[in-house]
Amino acid sequence: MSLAGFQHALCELIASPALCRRLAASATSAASAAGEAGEDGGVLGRYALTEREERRLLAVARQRGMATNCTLYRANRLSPLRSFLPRTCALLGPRLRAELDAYLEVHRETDLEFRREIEAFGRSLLGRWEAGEIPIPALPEVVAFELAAHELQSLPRRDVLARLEAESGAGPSRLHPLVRVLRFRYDPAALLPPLVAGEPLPADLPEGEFFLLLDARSDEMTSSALPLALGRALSGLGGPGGPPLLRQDEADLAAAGLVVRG
Amino acid sequence: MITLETSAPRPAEPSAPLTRLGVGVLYNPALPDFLRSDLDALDYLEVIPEMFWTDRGLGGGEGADRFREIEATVEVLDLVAAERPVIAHSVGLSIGSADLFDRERIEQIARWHARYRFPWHSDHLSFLRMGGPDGHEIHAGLAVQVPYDEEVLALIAGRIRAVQERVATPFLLENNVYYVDLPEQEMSEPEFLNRLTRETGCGLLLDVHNVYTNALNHGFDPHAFVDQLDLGTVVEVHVAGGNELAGMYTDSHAGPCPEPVWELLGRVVAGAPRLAGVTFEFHASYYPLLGPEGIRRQLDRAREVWAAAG
Repeated sequence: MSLAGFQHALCELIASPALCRRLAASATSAASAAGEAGEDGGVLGRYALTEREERRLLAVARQRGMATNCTLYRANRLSPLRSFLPRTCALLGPRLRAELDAYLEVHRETDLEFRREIEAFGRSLLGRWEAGEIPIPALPEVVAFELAAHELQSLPRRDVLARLEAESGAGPSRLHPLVRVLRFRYDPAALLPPLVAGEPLPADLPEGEFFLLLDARSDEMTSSALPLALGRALSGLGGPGGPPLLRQDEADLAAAGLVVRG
Repeated sequence: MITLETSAPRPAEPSAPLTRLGVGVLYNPALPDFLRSDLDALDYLEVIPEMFWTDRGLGGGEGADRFREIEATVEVLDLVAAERPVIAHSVGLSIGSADLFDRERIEQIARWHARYRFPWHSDHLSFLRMGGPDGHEIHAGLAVQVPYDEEVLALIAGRIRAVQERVATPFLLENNVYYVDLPEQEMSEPEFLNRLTRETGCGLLLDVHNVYTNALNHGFDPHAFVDQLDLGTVVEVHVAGGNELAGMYTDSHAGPCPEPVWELLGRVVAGAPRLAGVTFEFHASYYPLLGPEGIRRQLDRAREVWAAAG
């Protein structure tokens, strides 16, 4: 079905200003643009197109409206990232544009679901940080914080609570499913507020081991600092190598609703 | 599973005038407080249903397995639905996609219609989803125009009938905004819209800001465009504002409507006997600019224009 090929080709152009420019600058005839080409291959060559569809694509690649389409495409993909990863975007600062370019170059496929886009961008940043390509020491913990916050806000709270009630009582202790414990190398009380306020980070961010509790058990999600020992115990709960909870601590945490059985 | 539409008998689409609802607003994430405090300003609320659920996508199961409701936003919707009619204005059917037609999404709209009793529902005359490898889909990133050709008309008409058969309330399609001209189209946009509505019984959701935007960018007279339309098919009108981006005027829903959009609205309502609703759209980021009073002013202006046109 050539209409399908036309739609795929048009969308590939919208997603890639560079491809648009290449097509616009290519040979003036549709045939030479669509045919087998040199190193970069024919821009339209891999699509089954009618001659009219080739002419249409060549024509639109040369129109200024394609710059608008490309900008809107980029803005539509950036918008949820800015909305749901605002601290990450602020921390990246002027690097955001380049990081977005790198991400979009690899992740051409998108969908209507913000959550997948946000997680994919977060993973992309973490991968590039681990590879030493983003020299921002605090990046992983800010990304992890915002991904966890978004995940908690996306959970079906009523369903989770109903399931928890049905399962309660059996099994080992574990964190409440609407709670997350995050470990920080930089004090989150000093790191996170400036990123929200759009202010520069202090040059002397306190370093060490810090824990933050994200709590979505009630309508409004809250975050609070945890004492070191409690943070270590909760973050290792249920996992290998984590320090065990003392019986009294476990009882206190269960009474506070942070730890559940099941 | 990606399926192609099958031919189906033409359904009986109600052609009688719908109950005139009045003036409403399209829901956005900035609105919950306004809806709680100023619901009296609205005759109805229009919602993009995709904002109220997450979707695991094609192959992601059926019903609640695939579409998981977002509790906090559905609670707001339920509050409003107890007081006002709710209209569904979908963005995800992608009715113009050549290689993808998502029947499970239609079933989801049918389920929501059973719950909220939409007086009508609508989607866009465009495509934004495409078939990808291994049953996955590719998303275009924005609603992309379709060529106004016979082949596309037949494709979309078949899909409209499939929607009409499953969702027992009138279905409307919205005219699209476009930033590039596709050469060698077989029909003009008004001709395409007139034939589509005539051949399927589908109603037209005429977005007059889209007409205004296209007219500015492509150099035609928006009033002459409206005069070429069969306004008897118009059930709903969208009004909005916009701004410039990359050298074009865009349908960005940027705050209040420009004056020419009100003039165009007046021309449309004067000739649209089945018109049942005028919806003001704005992007959530413009809520601080508009505020509750600004939204009320836009809604009041829409009422005035409608009343003046008789």
